[in-house]
Amino acid sequence: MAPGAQFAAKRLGKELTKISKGLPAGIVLVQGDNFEEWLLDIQVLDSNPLYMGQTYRLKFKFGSSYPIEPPEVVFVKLPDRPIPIHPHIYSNGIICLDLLGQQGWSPVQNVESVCMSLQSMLTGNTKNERPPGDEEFVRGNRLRPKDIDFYYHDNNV
Amino acid sequence: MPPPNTPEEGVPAAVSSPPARARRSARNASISSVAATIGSETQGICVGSVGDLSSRTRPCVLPINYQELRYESEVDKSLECPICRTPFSVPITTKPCGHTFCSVCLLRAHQMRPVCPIDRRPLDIDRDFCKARVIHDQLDRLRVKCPSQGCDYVCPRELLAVHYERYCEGTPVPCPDNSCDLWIARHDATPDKGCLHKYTPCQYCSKQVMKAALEEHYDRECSGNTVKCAECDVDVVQHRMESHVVNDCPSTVVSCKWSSYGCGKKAPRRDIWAHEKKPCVYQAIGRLVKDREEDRLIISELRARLSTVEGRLRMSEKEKTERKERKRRQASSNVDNTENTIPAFVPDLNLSNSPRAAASYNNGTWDSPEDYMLAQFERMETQMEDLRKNIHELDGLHSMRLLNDTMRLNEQIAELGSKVGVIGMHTTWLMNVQRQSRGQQRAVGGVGSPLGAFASSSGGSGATSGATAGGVSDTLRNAPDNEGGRYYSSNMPPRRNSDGRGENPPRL
Ligand SMILES: [Zn+2]
Ligand SMILES: [Zn+2]
Ligand SMILES: [Zn+2]
Ligand SMILES: [Zn+2]
Ligand SMILES: [Zn+2]
Ligand SMILES: [Zn+2]
Ligand SMILES: [Zn+2]
Repeated sequence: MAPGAQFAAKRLGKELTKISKGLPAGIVLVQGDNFEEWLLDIQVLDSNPLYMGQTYRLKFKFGSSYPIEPPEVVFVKLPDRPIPIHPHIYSNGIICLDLLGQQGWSPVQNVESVCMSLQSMLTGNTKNERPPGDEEFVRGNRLRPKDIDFYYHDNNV
Repeated sequence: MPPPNTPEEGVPAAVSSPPARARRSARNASISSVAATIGSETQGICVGSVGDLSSRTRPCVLPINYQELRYESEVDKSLECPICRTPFSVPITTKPCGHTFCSVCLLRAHQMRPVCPIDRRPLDIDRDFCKARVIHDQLDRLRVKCPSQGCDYVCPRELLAVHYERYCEGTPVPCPDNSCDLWIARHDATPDKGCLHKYTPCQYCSKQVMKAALEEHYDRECSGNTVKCAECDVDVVQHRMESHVVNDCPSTVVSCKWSSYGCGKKAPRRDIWAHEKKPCVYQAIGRLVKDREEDRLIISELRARLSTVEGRLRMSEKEKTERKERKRRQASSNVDNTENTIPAFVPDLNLSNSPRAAASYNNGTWDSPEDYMLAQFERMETQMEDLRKNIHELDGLHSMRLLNDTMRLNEQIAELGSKVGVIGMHTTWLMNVQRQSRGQQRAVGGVGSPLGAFASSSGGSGATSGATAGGVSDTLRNAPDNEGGRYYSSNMPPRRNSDGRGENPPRL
């Protein structure tokens, strides 16, 4: 194992121990049995009509440089797990969030803090719409989320 | 032996560094210093064969990975690095925002983005970091488990490196075979055993097993050739039979574990277990003796500590009296000039720059910076107290002086006042005399000669003026006065008359 990967595994192990002691309301670890990919469910807790009563599935992919580099985080579509509607979430689940980009990420963030950020990003939204150019993007994109050069048009969401 | 957390102070820089680190350090001198710090903590210290060729390319023991250590009890969250979430390895603090990270973690993050990972403040690797001393000392005191396999040694973190590098038998060291670059526990690293990393078929199950892992294989996986213990009917690997009989078999006859304290019971192990559980009457004694032994250890340790503390106390006591002495001397020599005494104390107030203060802390005379600061505070307090006393003394001296001086002045003023009064009386007397002599002249019928007027005003005496100016008439009228006149002419000092012609001047 590369020394970096060991570092990532160690850190994720620490996070798992902490998660096993409890996660904030509305966040559930669905699968975390390896140090490459985790699945989590999140819910919006307040009565925002756009997301009320829904559960969304998140997929975290960790590189060997985690947490120095950000994890790759996307929403996953399943029969009972839709992609939340949001002006910064494409219909294929790709999230346009400063926090998850190379520039906005900080190694002190962790899975839990990312989930909480996404929760609050949904909670604060009132627009029932997808990002501009969503259809085109979803059709054309073959890049991995972290390689996409997002333009973070709005940092307060 | 310096504490492991401060390797940069006593231990030469890391023996070797990975290429990536070397590349960076070549580019940036200050990163290299941080890297050396990390290096010397993780590389370990070369204890054994220093001149050996292998030691130049490889450290003598597998470096301790401080981020993988297991601690005896849960570590306070404030000592956890926010990046790796383990207790800091070599903590460094950002100067502008005061956030602390392991140096390794921060260096990695900084290579990605030169900002503080917490608040994204831009950070310059040359200027914006400093060692986190206080945290370092707290980390040093955490009790940590030895990372070597099969070793259950627990000690404060600062002492771990000594145990791990010098004494621990389980520490991974380079394989004695020069062609092999793997690590092997120290107790297995003997030239006669050779390289234990070669695979060998298990003598019982014929599975290929690394020699070093044979024991573990027998214990955990080997199912090849187990035999039933004749005594206890348990399946045991053949290889283990001997140790089973000695250490585990319930049928082996053993003596009670308190035998050294007097219990003479010998029985098969299973009976002994019951006997010990009952419990054995000698257990209490045994425990007591054991406790006493422990107590004795603790006492001797405490005694040693006490003596060092006493020594320290004596030293500071001596220092204090010396300082007092110096101050007293200064105070007495500078009584007239208080301003001179004050600057002499100023260097002591300057804690951080005082070389003596820094030295005493670095020498490890103090257990922690807090202790050190407390001691400094106490020292300052006593100094302040001394200063206050001195000021009081000076104050007293000054007021005494003032009182003395003013008293003298008062006396002088009073004296002068009385003199002025006397002079005033003289003047009145003289005026009277003059008036009387004028009256006489008028009565004689002559006009006052200018000489007579002069003589009277020149402060001589009424008698002179009478004798010189109104010479004849005076002589005729008053014989004794004539006599006086003669006296005056011979330049004798004026005599006081008591003839009742004028008021006698008051005696001074
Ligand atoms: Zn900061
Ligand atoms: Zn760290
Ligand atoms: Zn050990
Ligand atoms: Zn070997
Ligand atoms: Zn076997
Ligand atoms: Zn047996
Ligand atoms: Zn007994």
